[in-house]
Amino acid sequence: MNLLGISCYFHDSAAALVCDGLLTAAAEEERFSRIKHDFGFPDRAIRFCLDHRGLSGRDLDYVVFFEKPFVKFERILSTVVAAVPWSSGVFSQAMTAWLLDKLWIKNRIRERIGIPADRILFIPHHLSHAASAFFCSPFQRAAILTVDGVGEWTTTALGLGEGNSCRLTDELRFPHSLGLLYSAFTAFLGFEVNEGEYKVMGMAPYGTPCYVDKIWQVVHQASDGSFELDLDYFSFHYSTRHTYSQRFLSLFGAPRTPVTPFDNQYYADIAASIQRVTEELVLGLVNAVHAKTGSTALCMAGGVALNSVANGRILRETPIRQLYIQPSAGDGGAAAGAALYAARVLFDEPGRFTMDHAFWGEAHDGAAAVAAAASAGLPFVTYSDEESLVARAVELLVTGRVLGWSQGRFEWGPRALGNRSILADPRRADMKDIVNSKIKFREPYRPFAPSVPIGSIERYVDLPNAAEHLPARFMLLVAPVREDAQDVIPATTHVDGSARVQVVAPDTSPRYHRLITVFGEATGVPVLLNTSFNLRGEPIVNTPAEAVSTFQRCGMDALVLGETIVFKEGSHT
Amino acid sequence: MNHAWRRWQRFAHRAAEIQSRVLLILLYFALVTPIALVIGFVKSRGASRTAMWHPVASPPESLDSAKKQF
Repeated sequence: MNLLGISCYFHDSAAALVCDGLLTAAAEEERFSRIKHDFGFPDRAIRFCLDHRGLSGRDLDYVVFFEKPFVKFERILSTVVAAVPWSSGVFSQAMTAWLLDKLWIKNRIRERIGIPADRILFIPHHLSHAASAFFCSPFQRAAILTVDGVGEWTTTALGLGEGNSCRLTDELRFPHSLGLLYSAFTAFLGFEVNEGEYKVMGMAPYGTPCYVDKIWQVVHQASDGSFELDLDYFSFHYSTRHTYSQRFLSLFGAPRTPVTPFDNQYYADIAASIQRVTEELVLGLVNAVHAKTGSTALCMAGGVALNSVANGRILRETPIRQLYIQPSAGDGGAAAGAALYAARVLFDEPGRFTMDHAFWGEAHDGAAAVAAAASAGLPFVTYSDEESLVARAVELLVTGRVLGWSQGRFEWGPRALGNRSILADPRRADMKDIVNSKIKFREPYRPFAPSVPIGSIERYVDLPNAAEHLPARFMLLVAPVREDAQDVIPATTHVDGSARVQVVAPDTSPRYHRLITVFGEATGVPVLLNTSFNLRGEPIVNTPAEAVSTFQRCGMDALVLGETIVFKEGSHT
Repeated sequence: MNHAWRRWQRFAHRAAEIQSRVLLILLYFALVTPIALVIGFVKSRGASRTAMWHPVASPPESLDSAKKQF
């Protein structure tokens, strides 16, 4: 049975193809459209998924949408009515979007994919999230926690997965949302909502959480883990332009503007404080779902599950011993969840798999790499064997060069995990500033992740049984760097002595694992600095042509495309 | 001719945007606001602002319920 999952019309549109219960392809639309967080109908991602298996729309048994649109519409109307007379802007904007597009999603799917209307299914938003985590996890039975901005009405949900069953039992409803709370502070700190949340997390270690008491004035948590926002401090439920109210500003002062220096201590302290409160709220929710289900295995999904600092604390400070989060835990990933829910729950498909890697996107062959380098007029060398290719790449890294690294299928989710990455030597303290300022053109405080082979991880970070934690393969856990290792890998050790580590396994990333291992043999430090292969404000690259274009527009020294190494004009080949 | 047609399309699109905005604002004050006042009056008696856990409505475990958009 062929099932296509779709998520769109909010942010991070995506498509995912499930065949006989197994995920075969998944990609966010932004990788094809080149529009960051593209929310439009994912035509190109759908085309990729179908082409990957040589299918057409007529070969699909069902298309599964990631939410119930009419319920969401009802929530928006109810919110507008409740906020009269301040909600005219929201009403006007929402009506335009819904009347033009969102209400006709069924027709849109039918027309674009060519599937009969009775073969289109709709799975609730948080159930899609829950299925995206549980049905990709290694667990037969696990507690489930989903936390994001908002789906239809649900903002947070608890449940249990067991075999082919995936049920949510309790929920918190809009407007009481942890995702929207974090977004309000993201906006207050001068970052773009749905884009800058990582920046808040990266900024937090520069401050001290001295304003948590103030933040607890705007959100209250009960002993059962539930929480509520004091809506007097927020305006996201009635304003199209602001997420927080005048009363919020009276409490926290003037918002940071994008040009305010990042080292302004007050805003760093606010970032530290909202991060701390978010962690406490998540820990409360995790304890609640553990108490309800008795399970020490937990599957998490929703945008808040991408908060890798909170995830690290779950393993250290709650009864949870096994945690699973799939790499695309945000709304894009719900496309896979919707299709998997249909496969397992509605059609009882027997296929079961564990998502232990993120490489579900498009791949390009060696000819495309050569063509891209040649058409750009850049010098390149193609290697016939992997050992020579890896040896040359390591030689460049050891001498302080920054490499673009594009291999195989691109990653599912927001992280580059060694198939569309920028790599550098983490032993050099200045490498963080070099990559931030000359390569990525982004804020100087943003941290980089260390990629470490599975067998060496405990030498560098304090993450017991790291090999067992699949989220660590997806850069979804922050752990303390061992004290004796902090000076060894300064470029990937954040200011608070932590790192968002990536564990690299030889079975799922053989060439990347080999690269780090050979780098370790050459230097004694089997660790590479890994950051996503994109420039500020752009999606991560997909094709060799995009990789070459990015390479030409920044200070990167060399580019490895499959078996081909591309150099800048005039540099040594 | 093509140039004129494109200019007309741009103008028509902009005019339609303004018209729709005006109509929606009229609709907001003529229809949504009175409804909101009635609902607000009814709800003000015994309304609760607490955000405790709500039980989740039954998920769509049948094909028929999954076909519905609500």
